[in-house]
Amino acid sequence: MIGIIQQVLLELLDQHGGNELKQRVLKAANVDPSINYRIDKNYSDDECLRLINAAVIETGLSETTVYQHYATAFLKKAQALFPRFFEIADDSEGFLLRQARIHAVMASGLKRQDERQHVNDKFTATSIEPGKVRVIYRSANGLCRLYQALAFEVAALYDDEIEFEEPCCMHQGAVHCEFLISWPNKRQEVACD
Amino acid sequence: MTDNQNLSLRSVITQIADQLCDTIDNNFDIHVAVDTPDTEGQKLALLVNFLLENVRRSLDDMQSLNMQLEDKVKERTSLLDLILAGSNDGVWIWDIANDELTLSGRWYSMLELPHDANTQSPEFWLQQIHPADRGRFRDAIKRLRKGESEHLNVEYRVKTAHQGYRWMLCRGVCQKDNNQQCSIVAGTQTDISAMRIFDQESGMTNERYLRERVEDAITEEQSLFLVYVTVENIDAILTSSEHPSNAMLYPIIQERLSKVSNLHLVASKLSAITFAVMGFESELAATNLTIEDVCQQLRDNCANTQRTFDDEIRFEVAVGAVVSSMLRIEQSQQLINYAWSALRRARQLGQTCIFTEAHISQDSRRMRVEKELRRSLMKNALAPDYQAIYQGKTKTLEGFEALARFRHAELGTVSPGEFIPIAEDAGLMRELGYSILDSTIATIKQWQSGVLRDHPFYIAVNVSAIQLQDPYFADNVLAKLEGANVSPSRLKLEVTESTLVESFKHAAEQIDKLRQQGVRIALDDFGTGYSSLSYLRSLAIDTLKIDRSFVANLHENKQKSAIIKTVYELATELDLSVVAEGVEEAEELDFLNSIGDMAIQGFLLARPLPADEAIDQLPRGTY
Repeated sequence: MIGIIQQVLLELLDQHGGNELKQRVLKAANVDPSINYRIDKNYSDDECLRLINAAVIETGLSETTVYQHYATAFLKKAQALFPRFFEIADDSEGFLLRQARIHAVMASGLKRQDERQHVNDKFTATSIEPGKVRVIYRSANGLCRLYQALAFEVAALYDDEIEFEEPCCMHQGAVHCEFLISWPNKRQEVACD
Repeated sequence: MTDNQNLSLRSVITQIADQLCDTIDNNFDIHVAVDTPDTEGQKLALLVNFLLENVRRSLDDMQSLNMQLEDKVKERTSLLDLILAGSNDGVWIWDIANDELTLSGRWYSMLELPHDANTQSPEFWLQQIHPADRGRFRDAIKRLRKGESEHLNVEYRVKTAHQGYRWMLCRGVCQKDNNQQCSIVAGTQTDISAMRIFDQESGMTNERYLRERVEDAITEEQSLFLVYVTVENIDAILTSSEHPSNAMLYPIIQERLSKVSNLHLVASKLSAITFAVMGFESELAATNLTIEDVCQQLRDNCANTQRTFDDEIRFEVAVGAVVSSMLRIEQSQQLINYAWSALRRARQLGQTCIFTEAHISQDSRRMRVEKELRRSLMKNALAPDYQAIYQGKTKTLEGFEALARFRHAELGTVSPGEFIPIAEDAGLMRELGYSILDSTIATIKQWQSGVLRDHPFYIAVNVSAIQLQDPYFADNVLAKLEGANVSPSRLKLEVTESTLVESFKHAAEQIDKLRQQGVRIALDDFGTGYSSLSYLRSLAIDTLKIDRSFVANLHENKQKSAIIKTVYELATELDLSVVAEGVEEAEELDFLNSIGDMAIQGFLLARPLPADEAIDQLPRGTY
């Protein structure tokens, strides 16, 4: 995973629980307490998952709450670092359609040549029709609920209203997760046209 | 920004720039790493890697697309090759800007030329085309290039390596450049010789091909000869053997017509029974052969029996020939006309005919006679002569025979021996027959209310085979009689064996129908055919006319007199009247009278005369 993900999590823990909470989580996750995550480097998925689980346990919050807080912080950081990605998209639909490619290209770009072989993109997003996007998520990390939190946060950022369905989920034994994201207001506009 | 930060960023930029130099060989498969704790520096490295990954992905996509396109092109090329192979067409591509012509292997093989992988000039193509067709080809190309036609579609002949030529259909289309100018023309060449110059049934070259070859030879001032051959007994061969069709005979005919010494002859089929053989006089000279030799060899070839289809086939042929150097030939059609004329003569005479200058004037006369005969028939200006027929012993008038005559102000009197064959060849026999019938009925009407009003006479009219094949002949004759208010008993129709041979059943039906209405029927020229007696059995007739060949000098010839006596007795037994033709001597008349009661026709008693004279010169007391 790109280091920005862990970096945002640790900054969030530090911000809300101070260095003490951050160190507890690092320790619980069995990560070097002096680590500085770089945004231009890939880190192991397993390490990231351990950090997220430790954060849920050490904060005593529900997983959903942690994801919501994390999503808000992540988008704030991403917007600060890469404002242009947000400007290019006219709305949250445009952003989420691009997000899959940004994530895939960014993640793959940071891998060494030998690591790039046989690695599939975790996300693919396609427009089914105006106002409806299908996202396929095929990571063994199973962070589909984190994606859901991020999707709602993106929608809020653009003042859009979305409906989110997950007809297939790896937690239910499916080979991948499938998200159907709809923009009901936009679809009504299309219908009226 | 502090100096340290500036230094750090400069270092990041330098690190990234150095690594990006690796892309010089289009190698984008690199990973840019920077050694800096600065987030902005890391961001820059991140985005450079992001950019590189995007480039790699785009290149991969393009490569994948390129491979798909290549596969598609291969697939389409393969299909196109298959279609072209299936069509058996040659392909040509003319790059107009560079004036280069690319031709496929098949294009060359169609012209029996070795394949040349190099490009050619358009002039090379033009040189392969028959000179007479080049103008048409040039015009078609010009129209296409000017945009006056959307497609090239032109037929032409191309010379083959073996002194022949084949017909090609060339189709193409123009590719235009940005200025709407024709930059490339490409298309196919299809061999259409099978349709154009080969007879579908026999596989032999057809009359069109022959005409074109003759035309070429005349244009190139090559002396040639044409031999036209009619196989007279094809029908008989087919009837007598078990060949399912005459198509099976054609290969045999072609073989026999093509093999004369070492000559290179071209045999063409002109009709179901007529064929042409063409060759060059230079070859005749080289092989010390004359045209007579060629004709004789062809006759011999055809007459040779050959065991084929479990049968021995012997072709009876009529052979007419023409040699261009023996005549003043300016156009190919002249030579072809002369060949037909020679064949016609050969068929009439039953022997080979080599056309000469003398035949030209004869043909000229023949054409004039045909033309004037046709004109006279249209104007209804043909009037027959009438020859009186008397009872031999009592000299009482029995009737007349209407004899076709053609008198013309400039041509004079044309004998039946001359104009009847012309009428037959020109298809005028039906009109001639009805013309004489109309005149005869008009004469009967005139005479039955004139001097012969109290005398029971008839007029006999000859009927041709073509008339008897007309299913409405009997109806027409009866309608004409009724229209003129003439009794059918006044008319006697004379038929000959040859008239009946064509379609006996149909002729017999027409004759029966006429006879039932009172028209009398005479069997003319009796005794000259092969099966006269069989006609007596199967055909209802009233009169036998003994042919003049039996009458001439019969009083001095025991065989003739015996035959006539036998015929007379046979006729008496069958209740038939007898007319003896060609009686010219008093001794002949006396002898005939000694046999029994019969009618006499001949110069001794009356010559054929125009209607008025015939009636004026009837001796008193004969009617």
